[in-house]
Amino acid sequence: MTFSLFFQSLINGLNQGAIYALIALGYTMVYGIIRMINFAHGDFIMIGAYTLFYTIPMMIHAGMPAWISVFLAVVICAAVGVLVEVIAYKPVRRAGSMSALITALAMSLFLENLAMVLFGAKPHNVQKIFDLPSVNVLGVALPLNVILTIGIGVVMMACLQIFIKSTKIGKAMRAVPQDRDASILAGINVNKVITMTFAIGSALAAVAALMYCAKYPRVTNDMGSMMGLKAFIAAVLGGIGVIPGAMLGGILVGLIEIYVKLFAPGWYEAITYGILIVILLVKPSGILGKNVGEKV
Amino acid sequence: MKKRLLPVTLITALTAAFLAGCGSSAQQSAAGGSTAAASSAATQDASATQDTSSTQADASAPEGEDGKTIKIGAYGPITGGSAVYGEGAQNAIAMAVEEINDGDSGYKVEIVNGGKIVDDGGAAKQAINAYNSLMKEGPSAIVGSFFSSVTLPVAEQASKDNMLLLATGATNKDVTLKGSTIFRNCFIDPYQGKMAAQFAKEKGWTKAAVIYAKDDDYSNGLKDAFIENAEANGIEVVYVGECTTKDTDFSSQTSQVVAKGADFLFYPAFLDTVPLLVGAARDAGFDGAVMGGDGWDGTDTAGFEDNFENCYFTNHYSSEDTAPAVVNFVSKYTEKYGTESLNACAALYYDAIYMLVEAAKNSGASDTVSLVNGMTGMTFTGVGGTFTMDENGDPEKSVAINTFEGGKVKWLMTLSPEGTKE
Repeated sequence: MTFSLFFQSLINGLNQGAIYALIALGYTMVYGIIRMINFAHGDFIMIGAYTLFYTIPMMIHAGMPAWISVFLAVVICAAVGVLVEVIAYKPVRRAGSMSALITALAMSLFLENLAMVLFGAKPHNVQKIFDLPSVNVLGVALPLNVILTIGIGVVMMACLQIFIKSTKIGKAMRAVPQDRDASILAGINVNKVITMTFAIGSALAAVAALMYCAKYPRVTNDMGSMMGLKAFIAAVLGGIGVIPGAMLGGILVGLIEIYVKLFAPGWYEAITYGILIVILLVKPSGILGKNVGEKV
Repeated sequence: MKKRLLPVTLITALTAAFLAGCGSSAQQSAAGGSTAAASSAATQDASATQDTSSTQADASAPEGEDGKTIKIGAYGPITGGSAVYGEGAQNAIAMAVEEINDGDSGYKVEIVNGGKIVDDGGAAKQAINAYNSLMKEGPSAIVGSFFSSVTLPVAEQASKDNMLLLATGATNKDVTLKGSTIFRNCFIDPYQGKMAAQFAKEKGWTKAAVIYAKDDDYSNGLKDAFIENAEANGIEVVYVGECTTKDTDFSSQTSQVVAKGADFLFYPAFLDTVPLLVGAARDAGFDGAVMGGDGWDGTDTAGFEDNFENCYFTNHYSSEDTAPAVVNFVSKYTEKYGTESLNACAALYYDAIYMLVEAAKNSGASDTVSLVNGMTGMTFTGVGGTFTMDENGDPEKSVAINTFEGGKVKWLMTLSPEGTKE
């Protein structure tokens, strides 16, 4: 393998990984706080992408840069996330984890089919979000929008980390999973914290949609299911419930996929899923996961 | 007791309504049949002998009705990533049926399932369900589908049932080998791959790369044929990369294409991922030619106009062709449905309906056996050109090579089987 091929794949892998990482964060945050896997999370990206598809032409028409649309996508995704939580998840929260899981799967199918009815089954091309040229670095053609995408991902992850560590609501988010009853006693409104978590997770999905559409400018109603699955693998790989774990897992899955594809393109999914199984066998709690038993 | 009364009355009422509905529809269809027979007798100045023979046919074979109505079942991709093909097919069938039934060919066409195409979702499993649901309505022939992977299992089943299957876009060479009742009106994969290689040779490209979808029969067929013919034409295949039909990321494969120094990239796949692949190839710094097969038809190039410069694909027909059948089809279709779903799939379903009418004319009856006889060895002129069915049930026809200009498909040339340019 020549250096240029290695370098180009590194950038491609980081780009792919940053997208997975942002989606994985949504899974991990929700799991961390209510021990529930929100399978509809992948479909929030689809909603974000459709928002971009419809609002970018409006932005351009109004003479504003296309990426402003992401703010609208963030608002809509956060609203959908909160709505889904309040309408579908909250009522079944006490019914046990199996009911919650089934509800999440149903919600995922519902959103995908709703999108098919609303927007049609045909894939749509999203207009260019960043109109940036390619630069030549070390003999490799690097599109600047890829670099920018990675940058956005890193900034988002850093912001989230600061938010969780130093704000009051962030501290509450960490407190709830540790001891729910004690956090209620300490004056934390658990329901509000959970809703907030969904809002933030969904907002991150909107940013992931922006990053996805900058690289793969196409929206379909089922785009979220595969992306969501891969990001879920990333979250488990890094240690589900652990925020830095989701970031690490996402980047790793992205890099593995791109490098495996370079040499055995037919094998990349088998290998990606194979890694998940191996990790779970060796370290069931994931790379950064702490091996604490479930509280009874 | 009172509480039970309500459901009982409801059930009785529903049953009555249901029975009444059945009765009236049966009456209607009987009435429709007799009026059709009467009108055809009137218009064609039919003799008394013909009338009696048709009544005899009516009594012996209820499916054939008066022998002048061809019952056709159609299936195709109405939902999924290739839904635009199904949309075109549905419109084209409606158009063909209207023309034939208003025309004076002596035959009428009835599309079962209320004139609607049954959805195969572009997937093999759903296609078998679609086929079974069509068979329940007792058609004389079945038309579809556009995809090889979808059509192969259906062809297998149709040949067991001795049902005439006229495949519309399934270019995999095995489709018509499943049985003598299986036909198609499109060229076959090896042929498209061969033409792509021949085109590359004429353009003077020497190093080819291939990326193909491993989980798709169509893609595999074109890839094999292209590689075989590329080598025969002195073109070196420097890289063969796999992907799946669900992939959205092609950055690894395209960076390999660049690293291997290819000047031509062959990507036989379906339209929904084509913009992503072309985009990825250009992002990786590949400025050579990218080429595909008829699966590229209808590709959405919005936002990719610059990337699609120097891209080509082989197709069944070109809407810019000046043959009268093409001009007629294109102008009528555009007037009725616009240009968005005006694709090769529409043209092929349109031709398929006309071919079945032609087959009925050749053999003089509209039952399955007569249609098969009429179809075998027939020469047909339609939107897809003039062609003759060979012993396998495949047509021998020329291919149109299209390119893109500012994101719009533009007809470049037509390559004929002998390899000469027209």
